[in-house]
Amino acid sequence: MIVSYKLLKEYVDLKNYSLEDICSALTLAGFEIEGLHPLSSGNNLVIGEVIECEKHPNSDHLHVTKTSIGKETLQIVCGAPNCRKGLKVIVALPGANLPAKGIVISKSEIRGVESNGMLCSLLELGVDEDKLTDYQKAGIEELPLDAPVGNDNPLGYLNLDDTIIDISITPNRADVFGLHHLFKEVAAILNTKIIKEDDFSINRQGECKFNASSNTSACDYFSITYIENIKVMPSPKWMQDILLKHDIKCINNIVDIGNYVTLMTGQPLHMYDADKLQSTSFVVKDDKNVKVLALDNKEYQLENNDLAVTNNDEVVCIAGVIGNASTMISDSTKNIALEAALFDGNRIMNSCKKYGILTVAATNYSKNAVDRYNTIKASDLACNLLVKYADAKKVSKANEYDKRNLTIKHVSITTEFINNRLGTNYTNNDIENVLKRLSFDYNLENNNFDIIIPTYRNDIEIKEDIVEEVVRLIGFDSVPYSTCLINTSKYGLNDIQKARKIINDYLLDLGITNTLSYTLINKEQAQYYGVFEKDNYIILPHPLTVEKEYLRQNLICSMLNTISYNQARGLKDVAIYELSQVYSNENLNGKEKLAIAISNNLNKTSWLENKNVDFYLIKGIVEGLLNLFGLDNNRYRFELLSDYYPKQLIFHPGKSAILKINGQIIGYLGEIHPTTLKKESIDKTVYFEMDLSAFLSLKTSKIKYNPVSKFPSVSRDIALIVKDEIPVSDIIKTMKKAGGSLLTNVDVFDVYKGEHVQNGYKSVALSMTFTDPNKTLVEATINELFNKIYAQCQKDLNAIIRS
Amino acid sequence: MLKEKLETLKQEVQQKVDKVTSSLELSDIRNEYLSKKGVMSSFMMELKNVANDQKPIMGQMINETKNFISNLIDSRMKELQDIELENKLKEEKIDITLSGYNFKSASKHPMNIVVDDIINIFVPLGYSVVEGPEVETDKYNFEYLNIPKNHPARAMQDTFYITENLLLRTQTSGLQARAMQANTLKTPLKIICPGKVYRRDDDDATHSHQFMQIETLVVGEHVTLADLKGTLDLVAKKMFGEKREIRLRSSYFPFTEPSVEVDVSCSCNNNKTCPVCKGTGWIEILGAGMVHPNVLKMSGYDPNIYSGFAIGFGVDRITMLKYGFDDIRNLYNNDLRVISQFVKER
Repeated sequence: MIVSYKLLKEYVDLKNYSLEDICSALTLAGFEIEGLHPLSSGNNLVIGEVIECEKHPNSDHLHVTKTSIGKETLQIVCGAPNCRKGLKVIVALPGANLPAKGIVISKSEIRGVESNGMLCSLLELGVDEDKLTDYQKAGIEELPLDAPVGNDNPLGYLNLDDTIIDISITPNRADVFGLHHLFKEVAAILNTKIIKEDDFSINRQGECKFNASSNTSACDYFSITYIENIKVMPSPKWMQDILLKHDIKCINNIVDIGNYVTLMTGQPLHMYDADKLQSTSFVVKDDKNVKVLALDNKEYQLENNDLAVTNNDEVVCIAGVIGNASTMISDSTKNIALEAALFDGNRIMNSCKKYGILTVAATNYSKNAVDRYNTIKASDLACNLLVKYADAKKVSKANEYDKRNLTIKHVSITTEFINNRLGTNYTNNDIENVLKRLSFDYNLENNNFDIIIPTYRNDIEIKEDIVEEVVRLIGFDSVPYSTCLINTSKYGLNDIQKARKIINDYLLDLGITNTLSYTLINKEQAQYYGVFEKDNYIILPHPLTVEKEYLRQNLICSMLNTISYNQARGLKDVAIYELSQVYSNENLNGKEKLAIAISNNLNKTSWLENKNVDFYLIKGIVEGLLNLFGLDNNRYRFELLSDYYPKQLIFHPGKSAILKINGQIIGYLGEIHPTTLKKESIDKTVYFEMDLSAFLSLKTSKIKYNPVSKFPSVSRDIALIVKDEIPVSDIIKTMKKAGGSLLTNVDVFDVYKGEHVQNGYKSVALSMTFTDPNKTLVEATINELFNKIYAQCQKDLNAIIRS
Repeated sequence: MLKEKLETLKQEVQQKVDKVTSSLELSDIRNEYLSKKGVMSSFMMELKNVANDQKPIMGQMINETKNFISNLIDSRMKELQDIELENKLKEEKIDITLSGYNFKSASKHPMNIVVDDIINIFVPLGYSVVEGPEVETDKYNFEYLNIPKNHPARAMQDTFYITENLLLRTQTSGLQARAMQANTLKTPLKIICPGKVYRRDDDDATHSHQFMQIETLVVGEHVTLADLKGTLDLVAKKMFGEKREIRLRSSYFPFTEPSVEVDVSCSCNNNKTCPVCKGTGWIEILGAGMVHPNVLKMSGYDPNIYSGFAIGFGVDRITMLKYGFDDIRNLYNNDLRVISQFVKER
């Protein structure tokens, strides 16, 4: 919200405080200053009168003026098109500083003619251009003809010597939208006095000819006052100044008075042209289904639950939002009906959302800025002003419909409670001081404060609210620093968090960068990359943009996007991983995924020959990870992905696999399909993604020390020719089956296809290691084993030994 | 006769050895004279034809000559091999200014660095790390936090709703209620909860529809605002440096009362034009407060016995402040030229 600094000083005794002090105190006490906006800027100014205005001899647009500033007359050259004899103007004297345009005025010569100052436009004096007419912006400011020549405070004369303070209001303190409450708050925070109060006195005479009632619980108070014989004219200048500074348009004295009272008290008012009303009975209803032409000349469709003030069953006002055009105040209005009512803020907010309109009244109702106890006082203030500034001849008593359940709020609290919450050592006296500053009435008995909460403080309900009032007014500096000594039996990271740390370290040390990307993706991405997902996507019904509509179920799309982003910026080698939760309709609690993607090269040494990424690189990284978590290779298997997903276009069908652990599919890996590479405009890429939650819930075996054989191992190589489609893992399995416990390891050291090997076949060279933990192996045993193994391979795989 | 012959031989070998320039040639010479079929062997053969009494003397002479030649060749061989090795090594010289094989570790994302830093401050203080779902119910995200439907604070956080009761969490604070409710024994709690959160904000330099928070919650008997202040001071000093101070400002959150905004002193030394603190000397880093009694009550802790404090860290903001990012979007585009700058912060 905004408030005029000058107005603030008029109501609150601030003579001992600088603006900086005030801002800093407000900020610390919960009213953060968002900005200070001077209405104008400039010094060394004076009001002058153009007494002569001639054409400049060497220019077709400049004027040479003789301008009187009272005690002397200055020759000033001026380029403004509206410069002419007889104008009252603002003169910037030599030495004047006009910071808005960065101008410092000095005596000078303009095209050979001496100039001793400048005639100013308000733009040059830093006035917001939105507040100026095009005419004002195009030339120098034309002061009223009675402006006092020689006055050295022209900005003050124009009431532009003010600063607008922009304050951020927390949702609990909307009460200060009523400036009277803000003034009290500022006085409390700075521990100073209120020095001006508005005059609420009014002599109400006779019963009101109108009658108020409500058919809905959403309006529990409605008052109407009949005011006769008013005169519509412009409102007084002081009031216009205040309204304009607070961004409120001035219409006429009647409307302006209503707006002024709302600005000051927070209570919305509405005024009807009484002679345009059909009946004397006002009824608030919430079941009107009609179109209403409002005073902003727009039509609004009312529906059930929208609150309406009706007269003769005609809607005359969209309650708490905006009045009806047919009963609005016009220049010819003579008598008015003044409404001061209370409407349910949530209803008003819902209606406003629907209408797409937000008026001051609606804001105050919906943000709970209204003092529910003093509705009629706002009406009083308005009546007082109508008498003073609209010549109102007669103000009736208010007719009130009142179903409010008003009880005075009390909070009972001890100093001990306050100190226990804060860790402070305040005394009763300290607390009393705070309550006095806040104008909270209280009784202190047996160390117990019984506090009566002012009616406008809608935020205070419980003891803790008082604790906050105390600490924010005394200041948080008075709270000591202490250490929280609570002990907890269990602390630190859980197993999953520890495992994540291991994974991070492993991948980072391999040279793979950790990324963090958005959860929300678009529909096309969700569909394209959803081929492996069985679950249904969570879709936002009201996304911000269609680009961020689906919750990702896997990370592929984000990972490939990251590669694409970097490769588009010239970074060819991209190796990244990400850990992230993903969600689906079937799994709202989410599961964690680990994704790894490597494009072009990992750990490239550019001047050396580097092998491009391939399936075995990503597989090796995965195997290393599994090994890190103690998974033996007899617990996991890699199976051809295309056996499971024959139609997908994400992975190269011949160079991709699924990872199965204990028979459960945990992840997939492989080279990205050329179609997808092209779609994302990325280079050759390998990818792995797994369900980390499932992986980490697997049990791993405890480590048990296994003694190393004291007897030497013996190695034998064998090269077998088998059909191409037989996977090497089958050969190893067959060999191990035949070799038994003495065959402790089988390693593949060459796979060859081509010359000397029949088409459709491959040669696989393997190295077998034999170890006996109990004795040295003799040649005969090894030969026997070798033959047995070969025989098994012949039998099971039709393998032939390569000669 | 033999003596002269051997002498001549010695000279002949000497000359040859002197002329020789490579170990290979020298090996040939060695073969020529010292191998089984070599010159010296032929002398030994001839010895058979010599009278027995002459054999020892002549044998000794032959052996002496053989040793002489052998030594001569050996020492020359060593000389030549040394030279040859030296030449070989010279030839093998490489450009040691070229870079080594690439074993560089990669970097963690800077926001994950900050999260882990904060966790590492709290864990030794006896906190445990608690995580929860990003798809959250209205109850946990709002209602258990003292934010009923139509509460004005809901307007502070524009929410991505999935259904009427399901949403993308707007804050990690929901984990307060989850943790308190999960702790059925109602023993004291000290938890720290990092995670992603979402709000309906258009992405720009200072807003992101997705960001990260860390919620901290302590519940126990006699937990005070002073405890909160002490904890915040410790965190600020560990995060930003020992010379930093903190300042509390009154604020409002529905789930804490009193509520505070926490500022940390700027490192700029009162520079009036400092872009970080805008000349105020203070930088807003987080919100905190004493847990609202309604929040305790709703999750089964008796507010007459227990009190607590909560802290909400904005990880994005702290990351930006700590490392000088000026556009929040740079935290999410995963530009490796940016992330790779953080390798030593693991």
